[in-house]
Amino acid sequence: MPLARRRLLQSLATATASSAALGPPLSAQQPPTGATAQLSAERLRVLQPVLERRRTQLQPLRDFVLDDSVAPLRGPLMP
Amino acid sequence: MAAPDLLYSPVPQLAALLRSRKLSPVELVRACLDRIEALNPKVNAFLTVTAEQALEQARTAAKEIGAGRYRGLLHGIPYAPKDMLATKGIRTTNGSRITTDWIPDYESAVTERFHRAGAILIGKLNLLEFAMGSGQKGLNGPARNPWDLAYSPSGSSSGSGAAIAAGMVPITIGSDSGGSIRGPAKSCGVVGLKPTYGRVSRYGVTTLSWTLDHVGPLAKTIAGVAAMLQVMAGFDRRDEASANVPVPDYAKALTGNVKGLRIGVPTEHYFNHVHPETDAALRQARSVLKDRGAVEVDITVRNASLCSAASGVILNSESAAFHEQRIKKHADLLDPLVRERLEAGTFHTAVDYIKALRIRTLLMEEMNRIFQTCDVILLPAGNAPPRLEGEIVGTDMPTDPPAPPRPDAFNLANVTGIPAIVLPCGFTSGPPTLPLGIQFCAKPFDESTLFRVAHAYESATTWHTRFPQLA
Repeated sequence: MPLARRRLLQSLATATASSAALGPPLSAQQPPTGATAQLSAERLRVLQPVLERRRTQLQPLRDFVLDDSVAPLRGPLMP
Repeated sequence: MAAPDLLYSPVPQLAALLRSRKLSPVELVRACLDRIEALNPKVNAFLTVTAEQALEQARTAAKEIGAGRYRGLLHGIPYAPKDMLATKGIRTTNGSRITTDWIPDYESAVTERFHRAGAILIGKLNLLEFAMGSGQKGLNGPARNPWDLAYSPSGSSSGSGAAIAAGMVPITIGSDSGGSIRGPAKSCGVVGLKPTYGRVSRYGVTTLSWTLDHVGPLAKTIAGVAAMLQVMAGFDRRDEASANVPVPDYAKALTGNVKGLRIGVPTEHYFNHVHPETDAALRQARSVLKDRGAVEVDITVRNASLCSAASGVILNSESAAFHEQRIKKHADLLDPLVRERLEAGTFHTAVDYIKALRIRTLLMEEMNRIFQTCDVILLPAGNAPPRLEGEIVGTDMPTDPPAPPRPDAFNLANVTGIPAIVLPCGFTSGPPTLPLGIQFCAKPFDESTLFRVAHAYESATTWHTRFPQLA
């Protein structure tokens, strides 16, 4: 993979995974995986400002500390 | 009775005329079809009109009613669903070029129930592509706001709101994952309900977000919406989120009595940055209800500011997952903004997503706490009057200068699953004169209390009797 694309992916991953609690950002040496692997360099350029805006919107959620007892609910609601 | 008066009549009134055979379902359907033919080129609410089938269903309804086999309030009433509900043998586009020619071989649960109730399918309604929020133009161009065609009816159930406001059809069905029924209801001056999560089956409705999707009714009045929910609600094992909870008789809630009803009014967050005319209309609405005996209770929704972020992560992640193959194979057919949103959704981490779901739990517990102290919560129905078409921006779009943070009063009900209703509460001073809306929320499965307070307010006001002057 071209180095420029690896660096762009790394900066995007860092932009969306800036909290230490989420683990280290993707390494520039690792190829992208999963759903992001299909995106061309051009698409990544288009998405970068969107991801930056989302990172700003997302930060309060990432900063918020949840009690261990809070679990995601599954299934239908009950009255 | 001449159209449009006929077509703006409340559902119970139409039902009485049909049952007594003073009005034939065929006459009613023809009135709708004539109005659609005249106005749809301007309003663009309908993507598909099923004229012949509707007339056939109307003739069947007329025979049944004539033979004394009356099925209920919706028997013989024309309706139209958002074009995300699968209708067997009828094109279902999702507002997308990707599925523009899709003809389902199955029926959605809701349209199936409407058919059993004798309601008459008259066509499929315009929407924003795959219900992906504001800013997109959709398959055939946007629906227009009948109050002023230069303005948006809001979305994503844009056709569902516009069709009622234009008097094209008395009742419609929409979907709501972040305000997509309630926004159009507000902007079009009609009533829209997002029921409790799991109250109405989503079987046969194209998914946007499994956690946030709801299907619900729109109509000119509370009685119409209540009659529709009576038919739509109920357990369906084909929807994994469907709740096996008894369905009450919603008509019993339409008493007009709100004496002692406790209305929770948030003191923080939701009323910040509300448009001045919206704020004035809401204050007046509160006075109306207090005059009728309701009492207000100050409430605080703790962690309310997290709701939009949690909703965004959940919706963006789940929609990207649902559309994974479409992103891979047909991205070039997507509207550019929809494509951006879906592709950007693939970058959310699993930890973000699960954290958002945990915040959902927190907010649901917060709702449980708040509903110990009040019966309904009053919220704005959006912060501002309808926008000009073409100036709609989604939350991902930048503005110049940057817009101030605007609390989103719609997401709370989607994230927590509580039912929420919007109805008209006034109009802007203009020009143009555009509708303003008020929103009430209640605890899970308590749509009856929503109908009670909304009906009381509606009975004390005349906003619901106004309709736009369309040629």
